[in-house]
Amino acid sequence: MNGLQVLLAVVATNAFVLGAAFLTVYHFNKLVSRSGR
Amino acid sequence: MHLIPQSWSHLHMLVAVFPSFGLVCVLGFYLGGLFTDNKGIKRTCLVLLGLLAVLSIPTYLSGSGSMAVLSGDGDRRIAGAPMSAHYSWGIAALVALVITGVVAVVELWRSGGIGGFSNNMVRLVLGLSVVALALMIMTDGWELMHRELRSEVIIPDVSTPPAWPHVHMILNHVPTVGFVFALAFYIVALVMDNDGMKRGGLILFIICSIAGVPTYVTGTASMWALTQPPIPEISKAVINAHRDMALWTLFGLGFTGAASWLELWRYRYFGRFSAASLALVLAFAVITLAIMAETGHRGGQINHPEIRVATEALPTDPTSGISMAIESLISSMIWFVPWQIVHFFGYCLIFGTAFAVLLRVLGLWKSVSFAAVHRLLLLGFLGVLMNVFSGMLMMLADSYRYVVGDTAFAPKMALIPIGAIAVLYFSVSDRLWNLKPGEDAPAAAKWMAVVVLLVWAGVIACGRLLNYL
Repeated sequence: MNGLQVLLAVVATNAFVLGAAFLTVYHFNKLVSRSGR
Repeated sequence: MHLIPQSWSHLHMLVAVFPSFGLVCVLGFYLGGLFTDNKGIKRTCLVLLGLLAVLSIPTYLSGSGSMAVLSGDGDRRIAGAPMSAHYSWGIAALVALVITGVVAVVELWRSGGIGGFSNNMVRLVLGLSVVALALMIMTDGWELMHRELRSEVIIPDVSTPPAWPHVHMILNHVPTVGFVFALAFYIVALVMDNDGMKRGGLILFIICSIAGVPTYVTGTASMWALTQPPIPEISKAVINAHRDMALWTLFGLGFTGAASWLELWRYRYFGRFSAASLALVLAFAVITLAIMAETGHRGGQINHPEIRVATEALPTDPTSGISMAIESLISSMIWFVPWQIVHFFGYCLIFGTAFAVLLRVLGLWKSVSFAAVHRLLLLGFLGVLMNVFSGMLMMLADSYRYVVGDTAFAPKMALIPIGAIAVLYFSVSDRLWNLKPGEDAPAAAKWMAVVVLLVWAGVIACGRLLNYL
């Protein structure tokens, strides 16, 4: 395995995890915004 | 079916945890009920104390039956003196529990089931429960079959301190027995449609989930204590079968705890629960409990030959199983490094959220309401989820080095539950939620904010010091 493969694995894994976290925050933030608080 | 015991010893192991660890759980709920003056919680706890008193009958009968079998067949694993001490203290504890249960039921009957409880009687039940619990602790039954706890063969730099299996055996009852009571409490809350109790049930699920993290880690340390150097009669294959189910339990606890926290967080904004979310939490909890029962059974098989039955085949291959597969996968750099970076991002989210809460609560961001900061808690929550998952993977990469060989790991694991429960306080506190712009936070919240910041700073520092201490 070379450095490029490790870098691609880092980008793919973190993009997936942080992307899922971003979508969760977006969805729940939108949901509770309806309450007006 | 593993839940159906086929010997006195097996029945005793299954039943006896309820009057002991169950009493800790009920006492916790009861204190919560007294503190919040919630009549529903008090009434449920009095009923539970009555049920625990009833459980003292099968506990006594199975204990006497086990004692007769284990001391009669010449089994030399159990010395006579600890068995006699366990029996004597056990009788005293069960008598105290029965008295507590009788007083609880009398008070329920006297109040007519409508919750007009006498303060003196409520306090009397509390005092009796504490006495029963103290006697339960003295009963000390968990050491009887575990010779590794008294191991005298310590090889420097090889042996794992016997404190680890000891801690694991005590700690594993928190997410297991605690979970049974949390589920019972939650179902009662749903049936009674009591919002206070629903919140209590969700909080209990979260606490059980948080307790699952150190339980899993101490379990890994216990594995090393039992296998390095090896102990006769202990099979690595049986341990691995337990570890695999423990991993699924950790996931189950993660799903239940996460769904519970999200619903508590959402509840703040609407002031009512979503029926679908509550049903989802219930479904996760029931599935998790089933997995947990199998995990507990497999854990019991490790060191309790007296509960094994001839028809049950035990695993024999020490290299099979999902835990072993993950261990070999994650020790490769291409898997380890990406998850390590996820772990660092998780810390950024947790620490950033803790810092924002600290600024508002200490009065440095007084211009915003606490409700505004409350939204940020979701980021901290996601950070905790990311780090529990990535941390579990990283630990499996080289578990002996982390859990046994590294001084900084134990304090890190001790601080994580403290930090997570402190964050839970900010998620559910009514006083903080009602804090408007310009208002001062209560002194208790200020202290709690400082604790959160220091604890999470400690977790990060201990994490960075791994390999160096």
